[in-house]
Amino acid sequence: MNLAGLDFDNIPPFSVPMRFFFVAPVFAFISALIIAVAGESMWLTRWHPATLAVTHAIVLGVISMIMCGAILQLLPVLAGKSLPKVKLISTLTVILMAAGTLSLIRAFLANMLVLGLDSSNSNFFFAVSGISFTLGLGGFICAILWLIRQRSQASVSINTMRLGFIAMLVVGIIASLLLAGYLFASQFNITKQLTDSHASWGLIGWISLVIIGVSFQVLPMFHVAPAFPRWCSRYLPGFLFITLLIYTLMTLVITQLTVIDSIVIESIVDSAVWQFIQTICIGLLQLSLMVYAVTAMHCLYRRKRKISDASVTCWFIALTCLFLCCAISLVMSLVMSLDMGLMNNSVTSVEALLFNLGWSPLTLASIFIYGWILSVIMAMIIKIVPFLAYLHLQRQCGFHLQAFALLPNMHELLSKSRMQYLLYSHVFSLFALCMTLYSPQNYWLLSLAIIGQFGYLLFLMIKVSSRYRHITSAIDEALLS
Amino acid sequence: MHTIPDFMTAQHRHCDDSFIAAESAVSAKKWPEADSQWAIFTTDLEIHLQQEETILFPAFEQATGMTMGPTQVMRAEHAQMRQLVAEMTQQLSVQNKDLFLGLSETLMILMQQHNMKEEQMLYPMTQAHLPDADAVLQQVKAYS
Ligand SMILES: [Fe+2]
Ligand SMILES: [Fe+2]
Repeated sequence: MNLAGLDFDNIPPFSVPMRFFFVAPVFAFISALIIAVAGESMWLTRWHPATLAVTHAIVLGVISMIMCGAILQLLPVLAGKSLPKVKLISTLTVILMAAGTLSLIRAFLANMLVLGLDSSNSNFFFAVSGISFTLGLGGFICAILWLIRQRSQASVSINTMRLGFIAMLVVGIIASLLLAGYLFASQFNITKQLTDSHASWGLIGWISLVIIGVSFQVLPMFHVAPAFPRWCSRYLPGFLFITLLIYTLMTLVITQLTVIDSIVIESIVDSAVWQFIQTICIGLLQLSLMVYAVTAMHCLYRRKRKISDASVTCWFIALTCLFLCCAISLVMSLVMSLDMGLMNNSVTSVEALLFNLGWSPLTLASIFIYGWILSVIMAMIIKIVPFLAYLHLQRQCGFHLQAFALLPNMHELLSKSRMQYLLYSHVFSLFALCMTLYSPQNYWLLSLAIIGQFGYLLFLMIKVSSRYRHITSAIDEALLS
Repeated sequence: MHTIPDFMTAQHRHCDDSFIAAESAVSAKKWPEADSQWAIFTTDLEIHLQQEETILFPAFEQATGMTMGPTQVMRAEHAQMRQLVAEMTQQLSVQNKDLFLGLSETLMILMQQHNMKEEQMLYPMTQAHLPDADAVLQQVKAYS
């Protein structure tokens, strides 16, 4: 064990994670704006420029942004490690990520005539965003990976998060391939098939694995729940990662088969076999996420601390959405493969029924992002922000007990009723999203709901920060006197 | 219970139980029950903190030569935990439910992140670096 690296005292200043958290609502507002301007058409297909712009604004600008801030803060507690020059690195990361997301949005929107943007320079914006993300997010992730390079058996959380960080690098590599395909008029011809891999590595690999890793630690800590069973915390993340890897390799094999169109590979194994393995992988991914959802709900249900808590409700909503998403798509893919095999009419009607209810890849992705991921983000942020404020104030006091008397309690930093309102506004956005997916003419409701939810989040964060600054100076005075 | 991490972690869980029992009794305004659970919690917690401060931390400091590092942070957090506990005892005696619960939320988080650092890093390191870990564990068990 490396003793020199153990550093409890060196947690990054309060402003470091907060700069990530404050940028996030801005991208939520931008998404709401695009939704409002694009109108009904963007809900018809996931390939619509506005749909791509909004997805990336939410996933990169809101979710990844908040995750990076939270990761910086969690590492000292989970691993006893912190980044050197953390203020500089975090500021650069925020700026580069924000610039990258903005240019990506601009590049996607270039093809929308309604906006009257100049579409000729979308290549330029794609390139800018590629460079910004490589330097910003890529550099950040590499720095964190270097920091936690030593494997330890003790921390299943860190081991899982490490897989998530590696997955982020894979997302970056696939994104560069997609970008190269786009910029150089698809000489590589791997674009569309790789988009699904890109999305899976992003949503399941990067975001879900990091969330799962954090949950192993945070659920027992914040809610005094029993620890996750060992098979789940040890092996499930690795299983997810390897399944994703095989799935992507299969995609590559299939695309290369069509590209080369040579008999060499085809003669050895029928291409249907590759497709079959790919389908199995997707099924396994869905099953393991369902297993995680059930296990996490079981742990949370057996938590010792039963006192009412908005963040527990958020977790239950998140896990329910995750389970439903995976279960319904598993049923869908089973139905479809049966359908191909049997040509059975009754099966087709089930499929038709699900489609009529609005279940499509777009629905799946939307519920996965807003129902599962954003619910967890909400659950975490209402715990983390007041906790961090408290932690820093408490550090500041040290052994000085008069100063310690000035500390507010957690409810004074962020009251229970306000957490509850944030929860309601999130549930309302989720409801508005479902309404819009079912019938796209409700898009304005979704746009308003997102503005309301993130506006309120922004308001709460400003409140906590100003309270924090106020008390810091009071403690400073007490320490001097 | 044969290693320092196992034994000390079990004590953390044990303290959680009475803490949560007291907290939910207060939130249901069952004051007599809250009083008795709180008494159990404060006694157990104090013994645990003293076991660390008088036996475990000095042993760690001696074995690693780190006297100003992690153990100092832990000691400061102990002081803050004691301060919060004292305030909560005061609020319990005047049966102020809201203030007690606000403080209990705070102590909960302070205590959990403290315990996590000990369980994940400090205890395993102590076990690994002490030449006589078993003897130290016997000393801890004998302390009360
Ligand atoms: Fe301790
Ligand atoms: Fe302890």
